[in-house]
Amino acid sequence: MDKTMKSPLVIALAVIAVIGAGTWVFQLMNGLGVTGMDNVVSWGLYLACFLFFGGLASGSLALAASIELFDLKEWKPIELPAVVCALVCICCAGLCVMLDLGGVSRVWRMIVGLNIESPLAWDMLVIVASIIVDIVFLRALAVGKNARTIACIALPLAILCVAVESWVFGMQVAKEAWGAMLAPVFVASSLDSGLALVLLVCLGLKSQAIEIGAGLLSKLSRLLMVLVAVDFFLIFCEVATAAYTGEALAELVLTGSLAPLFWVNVLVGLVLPFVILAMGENRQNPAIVCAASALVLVGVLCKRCWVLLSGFMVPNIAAAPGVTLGTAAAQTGGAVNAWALAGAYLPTLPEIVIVVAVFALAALAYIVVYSKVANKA
Amino acid sequence: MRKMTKLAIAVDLHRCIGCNTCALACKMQNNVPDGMLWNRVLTENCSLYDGAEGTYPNLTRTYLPLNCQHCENPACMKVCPTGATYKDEMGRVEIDYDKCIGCRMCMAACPYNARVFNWNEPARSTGFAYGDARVPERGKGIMEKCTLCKERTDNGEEPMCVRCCPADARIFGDLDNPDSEISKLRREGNVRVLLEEMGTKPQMFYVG
Repeated sequence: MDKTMKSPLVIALAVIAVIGAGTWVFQLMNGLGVTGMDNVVSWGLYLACFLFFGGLASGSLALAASIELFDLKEWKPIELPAVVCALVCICCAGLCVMLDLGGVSRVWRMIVGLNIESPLAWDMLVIVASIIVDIVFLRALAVGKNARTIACIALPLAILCVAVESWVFGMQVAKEAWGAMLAPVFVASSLDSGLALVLLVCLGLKSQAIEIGAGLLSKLSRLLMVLVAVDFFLIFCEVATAAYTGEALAELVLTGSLAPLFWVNVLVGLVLPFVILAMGENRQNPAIVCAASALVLVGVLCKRCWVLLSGFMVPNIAAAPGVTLGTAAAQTGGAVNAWALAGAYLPTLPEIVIVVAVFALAALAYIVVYSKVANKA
Repeated sequence: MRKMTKLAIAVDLHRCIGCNTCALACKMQNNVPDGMLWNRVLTENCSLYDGAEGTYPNLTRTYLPLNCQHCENPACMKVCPTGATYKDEMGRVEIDYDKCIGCRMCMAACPYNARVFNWNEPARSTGFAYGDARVPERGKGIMEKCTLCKERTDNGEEPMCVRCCPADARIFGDLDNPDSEISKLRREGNVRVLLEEMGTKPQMFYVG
């Protein structure tokens, strides 16, 4: 445990996390205006990462719960890492939401006077429930107790968690691009990204010494391939429908401002890993499976970004001069900088630093929690 | 039983000349900071203000003043996690600034882009706060929007935008009172509401 804490990787991650915390203090002092968000694109990288971490948490939890419930004995070696991933990721998802709040000091208002009709209220409840279930699941595995009961709750809760996260967007009548389809789309990407994360962690973190035999590796990589195919199919359904009916979403993602994110998601994050994993000998090569998993993760992160941004790019009322932006540039620059007819968003440096720090914190938390728990088991 | 009230504003688009007096009267009255407006005047279906629709010589131009529509079924109120956004007994959709946590869920929910957020510490190029002293100050990280001039309408006055419109294009009144000018206007017909298909049931309507 001591050796883990002093390793260069852990120290580097801790330093990055601290830099991120300092940047967050900068954001608290100056306001969310230090980010790239404005009154047209009012959610950005923080909530895209919330969706990313939420999906990872649900995917890895669903994996661990399935191993328990379907008695997949050969898969046991990855069960504990999966639950640790789930706990770390759901905490980071909650953290991302907190980082996005303009008045985080008043967040206690969500406990006193909670509006139960709000999807954000449901989101808070499922995240808290997931944290509790993850801890109970983890303890059961660590002390060798029967984890079947908690797995019975964990599996449906994991899916519910993703669904609720999708409803934060999909239940908004105001945004044509977000609809009911978002729930299955999110479930699919949570499953493939969750599995990809667990594979990457188990195969990539040598210090954790998790044994994945050739048989298990082959099964897991084949499962990843299938989940990637399902993910691709659902995105195809969504975009093809939008293209046929002439919705703005299709033009935005295929050739418009969201096209780079979309095509990286589809080509780099889905088609390429599928093609790689389709070849049998690749599925048995840990390095190649790691690479394919990393590609899937990059693709899903891009997906979270374009799905989120797609709701904001085209305001419903098409009229000049548009929406008043409320940004710092709008405050000082006069009419030229104060209006926008359409959405435009690029994360700023503070935003990127904070998000990178959250990723570093996630990796750090995983390493620390896993070494503690694995020693006990 | 208390008499119900449903305060609303109607805009006569035949009278609106796009002068922006209402937009700035609101900004002044409510101490709206630099970089944002609670009430904005738009040129419909154009990419340039004062533009026109159609091809010469068959051109039309419609100015569309747009602020919070004070909906009967407000999408913003439903999604606010702390209950900061509420519909009061006078039919106005209001924000309790003390409860706002700056999550911007309401902003994603509003189909009209009617809400503006204090991304930074509010700046005022005047160097001082202006307008009605009764209007509460909003700090950074807090959402704001048209309040139907709560401080004025609480006392039976009309909102500043209605008061200041030089063309008398804005009509204010109680939709629950069948004898009010606004109710009569509604019954006359040639009335439209914005984004009706979204189901938010805006109380604000446009004539012409």
